[in-house]
Amino acid sequence: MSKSHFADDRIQSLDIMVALPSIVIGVGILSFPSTLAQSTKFADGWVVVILGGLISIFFTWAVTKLGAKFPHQSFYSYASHLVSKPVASIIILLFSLNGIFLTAFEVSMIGFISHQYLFEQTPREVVSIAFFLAVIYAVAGSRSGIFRINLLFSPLIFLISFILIFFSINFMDVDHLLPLFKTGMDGYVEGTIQSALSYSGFGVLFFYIAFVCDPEKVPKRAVAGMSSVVCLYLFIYLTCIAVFGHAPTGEIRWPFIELAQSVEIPGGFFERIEAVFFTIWITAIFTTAMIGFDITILALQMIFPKRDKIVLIFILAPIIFFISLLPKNYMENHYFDIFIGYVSWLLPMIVVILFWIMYRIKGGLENGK
Amino acid sequence: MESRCRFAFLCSIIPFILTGCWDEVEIDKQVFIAAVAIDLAEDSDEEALVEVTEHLIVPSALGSVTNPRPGKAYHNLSSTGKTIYETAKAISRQESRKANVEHLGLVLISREFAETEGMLKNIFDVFIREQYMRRGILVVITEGKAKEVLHIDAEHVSLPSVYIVDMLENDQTTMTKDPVKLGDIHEKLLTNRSYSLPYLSVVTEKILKYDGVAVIAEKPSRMVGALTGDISEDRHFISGKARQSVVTIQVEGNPATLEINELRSRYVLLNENPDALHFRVDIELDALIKEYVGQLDLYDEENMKIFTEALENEVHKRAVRVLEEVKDGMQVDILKFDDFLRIHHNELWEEIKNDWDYGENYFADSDITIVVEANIESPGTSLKGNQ
Amino acid sequence: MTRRSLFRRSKVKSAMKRDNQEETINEPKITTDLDENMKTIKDVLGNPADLVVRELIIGEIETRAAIVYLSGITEEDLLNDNIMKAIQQNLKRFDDDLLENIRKEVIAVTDIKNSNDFDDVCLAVLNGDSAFYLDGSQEVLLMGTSGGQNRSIEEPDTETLIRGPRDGFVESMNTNMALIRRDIKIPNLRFEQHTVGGRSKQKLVVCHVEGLAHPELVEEVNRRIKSIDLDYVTDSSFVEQWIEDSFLSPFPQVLDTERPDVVSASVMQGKVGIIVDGSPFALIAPMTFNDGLSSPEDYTQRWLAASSLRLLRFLAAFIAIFLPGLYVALATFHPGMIPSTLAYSIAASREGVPFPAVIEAILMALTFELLHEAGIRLPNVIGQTIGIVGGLVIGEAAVNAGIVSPIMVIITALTAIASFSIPSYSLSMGLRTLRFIALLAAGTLGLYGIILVFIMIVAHIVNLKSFGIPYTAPFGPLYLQDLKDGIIRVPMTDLPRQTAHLKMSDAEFEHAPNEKRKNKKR
Repeated sequence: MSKSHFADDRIQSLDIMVALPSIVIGVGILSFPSTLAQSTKFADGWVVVILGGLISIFFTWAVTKLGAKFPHQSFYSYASHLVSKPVASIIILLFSLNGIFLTAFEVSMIGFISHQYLFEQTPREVVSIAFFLAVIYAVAGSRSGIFRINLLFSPLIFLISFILIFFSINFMDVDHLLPLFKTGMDGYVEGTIQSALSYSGFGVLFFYIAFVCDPEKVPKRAVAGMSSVVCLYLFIYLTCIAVFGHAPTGEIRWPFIELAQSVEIPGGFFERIEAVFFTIWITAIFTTAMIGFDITILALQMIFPKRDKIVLIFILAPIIFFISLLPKNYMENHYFDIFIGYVSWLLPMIVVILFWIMYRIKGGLENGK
Repeated sequence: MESRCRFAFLCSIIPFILTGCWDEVEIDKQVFIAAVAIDLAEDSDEEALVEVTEHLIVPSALGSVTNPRPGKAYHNLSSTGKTIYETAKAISRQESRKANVEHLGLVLISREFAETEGMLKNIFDVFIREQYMRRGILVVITEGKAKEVLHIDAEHVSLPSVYIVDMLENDQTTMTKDPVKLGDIHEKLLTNRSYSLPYLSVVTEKILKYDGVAVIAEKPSRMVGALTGDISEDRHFISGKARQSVVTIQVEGNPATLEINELRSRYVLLNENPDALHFRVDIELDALIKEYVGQLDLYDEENMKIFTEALENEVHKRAVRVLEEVKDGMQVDILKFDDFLRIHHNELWEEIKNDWDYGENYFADSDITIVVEANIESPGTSLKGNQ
Repeated sequence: MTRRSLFRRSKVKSAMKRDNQEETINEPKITTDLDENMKTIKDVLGNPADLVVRELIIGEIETRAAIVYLSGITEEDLLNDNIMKAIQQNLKRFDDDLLENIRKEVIAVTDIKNSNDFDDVCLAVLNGDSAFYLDGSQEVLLMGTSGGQNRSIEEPDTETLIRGPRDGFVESMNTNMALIRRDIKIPNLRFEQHTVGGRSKQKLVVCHVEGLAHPELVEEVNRRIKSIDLDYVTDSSFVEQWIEDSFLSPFPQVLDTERPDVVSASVMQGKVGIIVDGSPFALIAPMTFNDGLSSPEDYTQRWLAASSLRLLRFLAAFIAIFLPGLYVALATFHPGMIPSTLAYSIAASREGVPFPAVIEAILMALTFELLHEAGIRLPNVIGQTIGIVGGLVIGEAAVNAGIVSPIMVIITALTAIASFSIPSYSLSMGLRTLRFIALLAAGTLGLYGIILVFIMIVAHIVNLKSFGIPYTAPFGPLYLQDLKDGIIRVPMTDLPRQTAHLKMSDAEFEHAPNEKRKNKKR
């Protein structure tokens, strides 16, 4: 339509910094304090939040550092350089499958959680499809548009979290946090795995780093982005423990939403903010689903370069929606959750380790070609 | 391309608008439950265990600020059944509108019900599990039938539930300082700890009274007794929340009333042997003289000592009385010795926590020494007592 | 742009063909014969009542000549004093090239040019210039005498300020250009003139400051203006709707203003102003969402007040879209979220209202739109009555009759106030349309519906561009420097001189497309 001032697919390293929290923060955080409280004692979970966070930060760094070695190159091009074309294609297919499952999971979670806090009668399918249509609409736009959505939503997400934490101060009981360091070694190990799993999502960086105009800055920025997530998780975890106490946190299904339910904002217009909170949190889940979907399309476009984006979207959308309807109850959904958690951790982890080894053997591309 | 996408999108969104709204219930087509009273079921079929009374608001009868309306703005419906949820569903058959529990703020339980073994624990579950209920719901025990309390015809407010909630939350005397919320009970239930609940009784048809606290033991889960009157207030000397409590002492035959301005209590464990635990409770307090009709010069070092000693003795006496009642009589720890052990002596606590105030009952077997240190901060505006 | 021209292409072609045929049949030309020339121009213009053909004989030379103009759009004083008198009282004799000598020595008008093309002459006359025909000459002198009655410079009604300049644009392009000149006193100020309209030619200038406005932006604006294919353009809004990026969007992508100071400030920021003759509204491109919520008052007031006003307007934009929807969602889906006492009083006030809250809200919103529309149509004197009718009859009576609840009246009023506090009228119109969508979504899915609408609006505006500038800049692509003039406005001393999102560095420009191509190749 017009020559644009901004090349459309180009993003800045700053956008990566914001995109990373957007994909990591989703439904995981809602149940996160509960999972940790089950494996650690009292407030000791903060140790594993940080340990798990450090592990994820390390892998984030590893992924972006590798990407920065191949500036302005698509994942496919440097993957084929490192591990030959057929292997690269398989890896990309796996990533797109991961994206499909991730999106389907978020869509299905929306259905489940809104049934818990917003609706009773509305069919889950309707709730999911309304959400999914919004995701499709956003993904059908430009890629830089997706990053702009992240930029606009992430302050909102951080803001609502900190408002919630701020108003919880009244309900906190320091006794709940004490005593310190009573967890056994097993608890720490298990907790670290659990907490690391909730930081999954750095795999997207493999793909997005190709579009960044200043790739050399990305590792630093991505680490900053991941660190902000770790900080947020830490605050949320400590707040939940301080407000509910250790035992109830482990028992509550979604402590973070429950936190909103317990908090009363003085003189507020809303008596119970959990619906408002969850509603705003939908934007966080939205960004995760959106990036998941976008990665799928990006990955598939590398393998099928002739296919139009919109065509891909319309082919994938029914598949994703169908998968999202598969879990019929909370147990199945729980297993889905665990599956997604492991897949979106192990896949990028294995790939980045493999790539680094190959990089050491083969070295980089000459002249950037 | 974009427009085609947009068109497809529009086509798919239209069915939503056409199919309508599943969860839509107009606010005026709902009825709000403000309080629930739970009693033991009587004389009906033997299956039924609980009698639930719902306190429903009639908004149109409430009137507005400019146009207040006399008369009651509520109606109470009761039914009996096996579980709370089942009974609530039974009640909804008596209602003309859809019941909404989102504004439920108060649960009243009759003493009779609370004293029946095992009942209490079960009923809380529904309130915690149901997502529309808040963790901030206040819980109280009533002396007589709980549903009677919901029929109180208070003169200054049109809703009994508002009367009770105000009484629990706003009347800041020592006794009523800490209303108990459902979230607090949830924590106690999960950790198997004992707790106390506000205890109300009906004085006349129009007036309620905050009597004291009901003490709930966790194993077996039932109410073991009530601390009423002074004792319920005095327990705060030990728990350290006794600000603004009033103590009257005798100084050389003349009464003097002091208000406690600041009070700190500290628990110390002297003996770690589980079978012979020995605690020391250090109570430090600052007091203000509010009323004194004797003739002593308050600016005299000696006289001040007399006052201080008398105060210390009085507080000590009261604290010991509380301990006798709670530790020796009820044998239930509501004074947070358990929290103290959990935080400061965690290993010991892990060892004995399953026999703390039940089973072996280490709590009842322990010794507790009380040490009081008083400080009279100000004599008020006059230096001497007035005759 | 391309899509639209595709759509229009066939039509345009046929129109062009028709024009060509007409021209070949009797193409009017300027001849050396004065009578014939007079006949031609009378024929072409259809000898209207306002066409004045004044034949005269030049004083000393005694040659026939004629002045042709349209009365009403010509400044006749100038014509009489400086042209007629001078010609008639001419005492000199010229030997060679009569017309050139008259032009140089007799006629006392500054703006004058030669032409031998009939179309030129015709257009000039239609624009208010006068044509001087000399018998025996195939050239015509066109004298800039356009003028006539114009509205004087007044304070614009639609954009009043407490503090700031009081002048507003008028319908004359020249005056408007002068107003901008007065504000910007630098030699780099450029006015590039275009003529738009297929049949009726209208003058239009594109105004920018060279060195501040990005050359590609200026080029793009010019390109789009050249692509305009309308039969006639009487107002800048025609231009606006033709050149904006996404004409289906409810959000305006070109800012319109009646205030010269707004145009000058924007031009000094590196934007481009467009002034259309005959329209008191100038256009400013590109526009961002933030621009729609800024007012010149933000800069004339001190920074703290200005910042709070900015924040207030963002809140107003939010209220204008979502408040009725929020009310419906809360009242019908989540009554638990409203504080107990308020919930009871809303329930009490809705008692007996026959409609569901959604229908009630839509009814009230429609009523408000009706009142607003009627208020605009009525003359100012009667306009007052609409307030009374709306406020008393609709509001009070409808509540008493139990058709709507008092809360709903408050909600509608609040929404109306909020929508009027948005400085850009076209933006506020767009938001008001979106309000109905939010309302429907709230009626079907409650809060969930509202957040989905919110997400969709965001997804829409991040993909919007105004002349290549993302609509959500500086928040969308983040420009930290520009946030100083975003939701808040920092003190004048810290304010960046030029907004960064407009000041694309040239290096960035040159590299960007290449990189993109490289990526695509792989």
